[in-house]
Amino acid sequence: MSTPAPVNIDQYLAALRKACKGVQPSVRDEFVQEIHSHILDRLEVEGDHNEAVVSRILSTLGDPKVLAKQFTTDVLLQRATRTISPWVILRGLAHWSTAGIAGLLVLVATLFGYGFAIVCFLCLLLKPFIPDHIGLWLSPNTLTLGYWDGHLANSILVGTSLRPPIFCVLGTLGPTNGPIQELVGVWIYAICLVGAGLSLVATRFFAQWMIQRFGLKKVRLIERIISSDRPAAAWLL
Amino acid sequence: MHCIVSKLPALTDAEDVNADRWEAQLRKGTLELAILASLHKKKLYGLEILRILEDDCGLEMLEGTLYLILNRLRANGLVESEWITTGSGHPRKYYRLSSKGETHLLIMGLAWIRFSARITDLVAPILRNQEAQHVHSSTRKH
Repeated sequence: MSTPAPVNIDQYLAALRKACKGVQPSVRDEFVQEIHSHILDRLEVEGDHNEAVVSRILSTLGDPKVLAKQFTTDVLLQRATRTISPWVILRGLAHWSTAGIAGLLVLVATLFGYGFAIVCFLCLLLKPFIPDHIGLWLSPNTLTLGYWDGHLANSILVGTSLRPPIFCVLGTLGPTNGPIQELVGVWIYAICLVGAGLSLVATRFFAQWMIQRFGLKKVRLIERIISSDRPAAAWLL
Repeated sequence: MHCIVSKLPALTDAEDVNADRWEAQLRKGTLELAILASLHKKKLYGLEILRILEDDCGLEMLEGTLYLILNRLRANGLVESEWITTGSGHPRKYYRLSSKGETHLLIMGLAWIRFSARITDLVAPILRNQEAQHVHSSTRKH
């Protein structure tokens, strides 16, 4: 019996390990070890360990980069469902977003939710220092929670802005003209505190629910599932 | 049933692709159930599960995919795993159903049997009718 072709197998496992970026080393190593164990099992079954056999075994496992990417996304999404850390949640969503439009949409919505919380926190922090520039501002066509530069013409409002009918942004909607009115005074502290808290909690639950509902359901690699005994037009049976 | 299949008009490429996609989706949907069911009797390692899926269910897949699904099932608490070194020399990761997985399997199995029975009730008369027509036309030709 010839020896296995270690170079090919080692290359495959090295590519797999290298592509599992962001996964805890112990989790990554166990996954790689399991794939290695599978290869050894297949070699045992095949009996012959020549290069063609090894190549066939590796090809039936799938592209190591694709396999590692899916594994990494799975692990990061699983971690994201068990944490309160925005960073861990966003990291998982960032990986999911590379796999399709659903992940991208959830990432954008989650960024907006956490962004709103950051705006609220910044308002809380800055209000004591620049009280005349931080507030809930109503201009002729825009409602903004955040910073006003103090100008009456071409004034800039930065924060979370709403402009009917559809615009809702983090940042600024551009210069605005006309009278600007501050709506809430010192109540801004309570509004921002509640807004930040609710936004953090709601965004976390939204992201985790979307991950459970859509992110962890899809298994892209099994597109190749086929029936080994499928006759022509057997889908009718 | 195969005589009906042989008498069907040839499918166009587009129709065949749609049929393939439908069947692939159907098989994907049952994969988790099939894996859990394969672990019902005893603990198994990856290649043993793959063999059961291929031989008993006609399911073939990129083999790395199985480990992704097992990883998800483990993360969801449906299966448990342990490394065991047997006579062959290298350690293998064995999977077995957890108590939560047993319950999940029973619920999924029951849902599958109810659903598939209803669909069979719906589709089987159509196929029997087709087969009867086929037999009738064959008899008249002779």
